[in-house]
Amino acid sequence: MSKRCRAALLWVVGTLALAAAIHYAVVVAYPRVVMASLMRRIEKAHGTNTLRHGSRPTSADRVVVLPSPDLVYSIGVFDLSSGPLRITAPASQSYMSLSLYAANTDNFFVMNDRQAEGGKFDLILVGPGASDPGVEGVRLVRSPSQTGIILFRFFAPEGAPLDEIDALRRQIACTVLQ
Amino acid sequence: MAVTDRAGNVTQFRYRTEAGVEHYLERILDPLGRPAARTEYYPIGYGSEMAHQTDGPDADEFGYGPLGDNAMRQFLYFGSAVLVAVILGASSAWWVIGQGARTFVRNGPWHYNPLVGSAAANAHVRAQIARAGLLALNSSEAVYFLAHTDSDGNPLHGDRTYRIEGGDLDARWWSITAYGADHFLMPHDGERHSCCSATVRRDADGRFIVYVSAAERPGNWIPVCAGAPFLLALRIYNPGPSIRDHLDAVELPRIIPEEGPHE
Repeated sequence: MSKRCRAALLWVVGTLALAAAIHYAVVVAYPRVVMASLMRRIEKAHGTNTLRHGSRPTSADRVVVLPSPDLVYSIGVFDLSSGPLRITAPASQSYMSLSLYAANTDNFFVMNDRQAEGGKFDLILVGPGASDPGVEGVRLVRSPSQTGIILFRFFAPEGAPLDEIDALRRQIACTVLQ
Repeated sequence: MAVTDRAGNVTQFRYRTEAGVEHYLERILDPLGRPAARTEYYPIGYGSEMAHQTDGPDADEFGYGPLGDNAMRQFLYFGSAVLVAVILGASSAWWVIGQGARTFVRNGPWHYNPLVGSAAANAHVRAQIARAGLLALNSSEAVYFLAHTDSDGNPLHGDRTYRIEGGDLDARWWSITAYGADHFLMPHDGERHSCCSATVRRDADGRFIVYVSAAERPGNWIPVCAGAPFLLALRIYNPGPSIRDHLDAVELPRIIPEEGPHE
């Protein structure tokens, strides 16, 4: 094989190998970048392990696409580096759900009001590899990442008052267990 | 310089003489004056490759240093490889991430991506979810159908009036919401963007008609902006098995364009 052919072949093989590596890096990084950007935005405004109780989405809300005007959301960033997080909330009379998302976007947990035992949400969220804090009678949920997103959804048909939901949301607690 | 052997044959070693490349061996000439070897240098001046020559002219192609021909050649060689790899790698990744569309379930004008909210199986699926439905719920909790066209297959547009006809769905609650082409709620007079199972007015048979138009309509009405395309989202929360197991066959509301002059 001539030297020029060898150089051309090396160029093609090298370029394809580098392209494959870049392709995979972009695919792996994309969800983390999207999630990190969202978490940074929330964290900057409200800190961690606390919830931001949003009002009903309107046409002025232009951050998250396809917001539902029939839902109100409470959202927060969890950070388990200081210890497990206990999340408690009373269940509402209408649809309500708690969903948890890992730093890579995985929706690793969801529970709605009908699945909440005893009419309340009560769970302890621990990080990957963390030991069980051993609180009896409370559901343990293991997060695949130290940080992620807590998202409560409340069904509130367009036009309906939010007083009851707001009263309920004030009772939601996120407590770091030392 | 030159080396003379015992028989008096002279082998010549030629070097570049310009400033900065004094020690760059250019070529070796055999006792008959033929180029026996050439040396190539890389852009930063290290390393060399010996290449036996069978004829003479190539000996004049040598170049050295950051500003030489070889430097430019090396720069183009590696630079083009990196550039092409970045374009190929990034564009193929972006294309694959957008391929969640291939997993769409279609039902009339409605389509749903079951990947949304599902537990990610691999890096590609996870990236597709991040793009198609960040913070969405899995299909046991909620199903999200989108429609960009009416039931005749024509794009939804705010200059027309549509009738959404259907019956109650096997779910805890459902809603139909209009969005602009940018996937945000449309700015118009009053914050009214949807009809849901709790508020929609039904006839004696439990069926409903919802009008979608820029001009106000009595009864169930979702306003949209005139002169602009839009899309509809059908959310179904806690869907029953008749929906979850038959996403492509369950009866979903039809989107019927009204006859007559466009409004």
